[in-house]
Amino acid sequence: MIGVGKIKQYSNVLDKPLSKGKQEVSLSAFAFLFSELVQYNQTQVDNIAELERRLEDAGYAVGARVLELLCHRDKGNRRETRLLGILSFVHSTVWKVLFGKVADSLEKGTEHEDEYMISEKELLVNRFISIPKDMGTFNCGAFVAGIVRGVLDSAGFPAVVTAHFVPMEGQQRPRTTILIKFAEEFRLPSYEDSVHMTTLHRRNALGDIFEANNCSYQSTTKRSKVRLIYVPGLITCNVYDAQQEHDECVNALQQHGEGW
Amino acid sequence: MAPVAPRSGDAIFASVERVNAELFTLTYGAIVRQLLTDLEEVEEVNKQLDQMGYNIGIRLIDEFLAKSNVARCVDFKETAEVIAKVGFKMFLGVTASVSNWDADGTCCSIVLEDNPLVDFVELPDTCQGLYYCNVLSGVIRGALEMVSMKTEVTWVRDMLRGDDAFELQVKLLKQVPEEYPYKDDE
Repeated sequence: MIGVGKIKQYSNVLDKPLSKGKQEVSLSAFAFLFSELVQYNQTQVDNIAELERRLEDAGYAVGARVLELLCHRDKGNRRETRLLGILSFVHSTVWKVLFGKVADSLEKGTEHEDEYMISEKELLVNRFISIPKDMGTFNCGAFVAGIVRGVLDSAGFPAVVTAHFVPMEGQQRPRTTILIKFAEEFRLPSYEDSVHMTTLHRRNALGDIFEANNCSYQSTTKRSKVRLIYVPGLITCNVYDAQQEHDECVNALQQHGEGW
Repeated sequence: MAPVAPRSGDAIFASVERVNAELFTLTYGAIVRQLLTDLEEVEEVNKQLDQMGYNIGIRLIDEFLAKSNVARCVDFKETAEVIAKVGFKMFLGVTASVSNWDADGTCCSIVLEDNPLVDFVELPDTCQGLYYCNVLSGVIRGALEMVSMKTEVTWVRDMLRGDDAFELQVKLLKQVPEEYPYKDDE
C-alpha cells in the first residue's frame, strides 16, 4: 500500500510542498462540519444579523487564504489588479476550486453601477440546509459571501458582500445571489483596464509616483505616458502612448489641485 | 452467509459526492480560529471541538451504516478495523491503520497516515496545548456511542506537536446492551 510507514516530516509548514489541490473529501464530511459551524455560531448570537456577520467572518478567513493559495499555485504569484479581472477570477477560478464548478452567472447590477451579482442555483453550502420560518431571510450563503469578500478585500478591492435568496419561477428552491457592492472609492465611470490606486501614494510598475494628497504628479521615466482620470477618492491611470495625454493630465491635475 | 463487510472504503468513496479538500481544510481552520477567539482558553477549545465532533458522530453513523453495507461487527477488533479502513476512507478519503492492541482487545490505536484537516497548519507558541484535530476523536466517540459502545478517545501522537504521525487511542469502556422494546413514546 502506498503511504504506509513514515510520513515525511517538515520542521516548518512552509517547507512543505504545496499540494496540487486535487485531494477530496466527501460532501457529507463538509456538510457535517458546516452544520456544526452554523450551530455553534447560533449559540453565540442574539439575532440573525449577528449570525450572518459571524458566518461571514469565518468565510472571510477562508477567502483570504484561498486568494493567496491560488495566486501562488495557479497564477505564478500574480494576481488580478483589474476589477473585472478579479470578479471573473472569483466567478470562475475560485468557484471551480472550492465548489467544483464555475458559478452559474456573474452579472452587473442594473440599478447601481458599482454592484455585481454572482448567482448560484444551488449553492453548495445550502444543499442540506432549510431555513426555519422564524429565521426570516437568513441565508447560510453568508459564509460564501464572506469568502468572496475575503478574496476581494485581500486583492485590494474592498466591498460589501451579502447573500440573498431569490425565488425562481418553476423552481421549488430559491437560488442564492451573492451581491457585491464595491466600496466608495471604486465607484468609477469606467472599470475597464484601470489600475486601482487604493492608497493615496503608490508607485506603479513604470516607476511613476502619484501623490494625491498634495496633487502633484511626476514621471520619473520620461517614456511612460499616463492618463489620470480624476474621480472623487480615486485615481485611475491608464498607460497611453501619446505624449499629449500626459500633458493634458498634468494640466488637469493642476486645475483640480485645490479640490484634492 | 452474511455479506462480507467491505475491507476498504475505496469503492464507497468513489461513489459518493465529493468536495475539494481545501475547502474542508480551510473551513475547519476558520472554525478553530473562531473558537480560539471566542473561548480564549485552549482547554475550552479542545472541549468544544470534541463536542462538535460528538454531534457530528451521532449523525454521521446513520449515513455510514446506510451507505457502507457493513454487517454487524463481531467484536471490537473488527469495529476498529472498519473505522480505520472504511469509515475514514468514506468521509475523509484517507486510510488509517490499527495497531497497539492490548491483551483484552479493548484498547487500540488508530494511526492516520494522512490527515486533510492539517494542511497549511502550524501551531503557534500560544496554542501548544491545542489538540487541533480534536473533532475527530469526538466523531469516533459519538458514532460508536450510537452503536452501543461507550468509548474514550484520546490523542497519543500529533504531528502538529512534533510527533511522526497522528495516533488516536480508542478505549472501549463498556458495551451498552440494547434494550427491548424501544420506548419510543417517552
